[in-house]
Amino acid sequence: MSADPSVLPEDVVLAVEGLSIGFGGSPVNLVDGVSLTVRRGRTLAVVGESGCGKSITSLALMGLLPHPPARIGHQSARFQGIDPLTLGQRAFADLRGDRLAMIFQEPMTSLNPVFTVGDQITEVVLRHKKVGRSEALARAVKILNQVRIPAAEQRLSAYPHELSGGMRQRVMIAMALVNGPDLLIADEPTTALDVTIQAQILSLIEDLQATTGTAMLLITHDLGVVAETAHDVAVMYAGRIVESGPVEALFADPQHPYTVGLMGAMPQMGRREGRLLSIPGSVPAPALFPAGCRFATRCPFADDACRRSVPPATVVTPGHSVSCWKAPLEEHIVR
Amino acid sequence: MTSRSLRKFLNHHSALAGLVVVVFFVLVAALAPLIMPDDPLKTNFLAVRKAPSMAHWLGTDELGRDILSRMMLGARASLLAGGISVVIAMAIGVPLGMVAGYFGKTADQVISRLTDALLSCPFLILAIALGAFLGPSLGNAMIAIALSAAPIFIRLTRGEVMAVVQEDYVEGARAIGLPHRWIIVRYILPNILSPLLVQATLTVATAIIAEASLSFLGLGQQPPSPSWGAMLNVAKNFMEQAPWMSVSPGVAIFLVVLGLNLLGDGLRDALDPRGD
Repeated sequence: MSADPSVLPEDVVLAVEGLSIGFGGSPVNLVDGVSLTVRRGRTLAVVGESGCGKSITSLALMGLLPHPPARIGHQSARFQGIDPLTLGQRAFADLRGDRLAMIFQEPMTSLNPVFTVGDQITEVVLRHKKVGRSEALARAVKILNQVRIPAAEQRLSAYPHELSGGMRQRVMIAMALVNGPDLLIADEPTTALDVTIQAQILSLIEDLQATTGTAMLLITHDLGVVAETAHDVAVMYAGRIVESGPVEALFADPQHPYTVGLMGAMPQMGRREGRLLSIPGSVPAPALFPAGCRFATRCPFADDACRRSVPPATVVTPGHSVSCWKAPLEEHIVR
Repeated sequence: MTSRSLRKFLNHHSALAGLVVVVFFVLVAALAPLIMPDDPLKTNFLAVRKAPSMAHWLGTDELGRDILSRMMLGARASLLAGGISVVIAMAIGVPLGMVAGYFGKTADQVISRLTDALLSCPFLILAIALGAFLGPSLGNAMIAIALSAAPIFIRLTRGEVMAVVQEDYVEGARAIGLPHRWIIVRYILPNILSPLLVQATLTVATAIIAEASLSFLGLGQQPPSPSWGAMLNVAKNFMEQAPWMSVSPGVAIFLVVLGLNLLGDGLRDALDPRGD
């Protein structure tokens, strides 16, 4: 992660430093000092359990988090040579759907029930591009073919309720990609789908990314999805990024006790040795977050130092960093 | 209306009966000049307060005018007053409700407090007060009824908009960068039309009663033009001598209001996505 965002490497699409989000009068930040970098043609997965702040992070990056009541602060952010988080409502709206696109979790309810699929895809084109209706329709057909919807031209006149969940998610992806965005934010894109459809959608997203080179920020709680689609991972716990790095490095050598716990809780094929691990306790309410490391209340290695002060990010290997006082963790594991 | 709703509506017998009644009265009102057996304004002092007969099917009134003809022309006043006042009420209420429900905050506070104040007054009392303030005429009666009915639409629209705004597809519309105006017209309005349609049908019935009440009090249609309410007003003086003078307009009001209520209930059932 670069300290000065104005001299970012060429291939960095989005770089955010020190993003913090709080709500109303509460002094606790639900998202605290989060830094993310997404590169062209690569997928950064933000992993964490429900309520860890990953969804509000993505909404804030899309400019969709109403503030107030939210308080959004950041050190720096760079997208398209500008700081999107300082844009006004109007300018941000010009960005959304064009350079910056989003896929939502719920394909069943994310399409307007009273208009056809064709209407909704062409709407995105007409909103941002200076093209006529027939050109917009042509682009809609092209993108529907790209997301592998059979008989794309007939589907243009279909209403959302006539399509299955998987088909609707393909339409959502088509809407997100029709203007060729630089960054795609996917908030749990497969959570609402059944497992076989999940696999299809994930491989579709992967293929589309390979052909278009779109950068992707993938929000998920599913480590299986991360292993399958992501290049980089950021593990989030209680509003902070506790560990981040390339997928291979992080899966091979998890350093944060929370990451280790998550991996122990992931079912694996073939090997079956006793029960799945579970992390003791639950995420504390924001008002009860400890002053130091927020995982301290559930961490088997925690001591007074952990509870008192926030651990800084330490580099394990280049690109792989962890925020834990006990890193490297191997030294603390008693055999 | 989807084909499923249409099928549900066609299977709803009382709603169909309501529709038939309403269509019948609308046709009578529309064709009144063609089908009236007599001139509704022509007085005949040789045939004052005659009971129903072959010459005058519904009898004659205190000036010898044919009641059937006056009923037909009066249907125009009643139905027009009901329809137009509801159209005005929606033209005022729906946009205000959308602004309150969509933008919230100060706009919502101002509009909702105003609505609460208006709704704290009983509908008919408010309409009578406004009618008296504006002066007696059918047009003013419509405006008075519209202003009294508008808060109902403001509140309904506001509530429906607040529910639809929470929908994922509205968030999705924002995520593709659509401006507020576009979201309101293409995403909010089409999705709140069903409850508005139902409420409009039921409010037409209320407005017809209100118009009859205002005319009964002399605040609506002015003589010699007939309206059902004004006819009742005169008829009450002859209840014992000529009861047929009050029966016809009374029954007509009863039937139209019943028909509209049945129609509204049927529409509500047919358009409700939860029921089957």
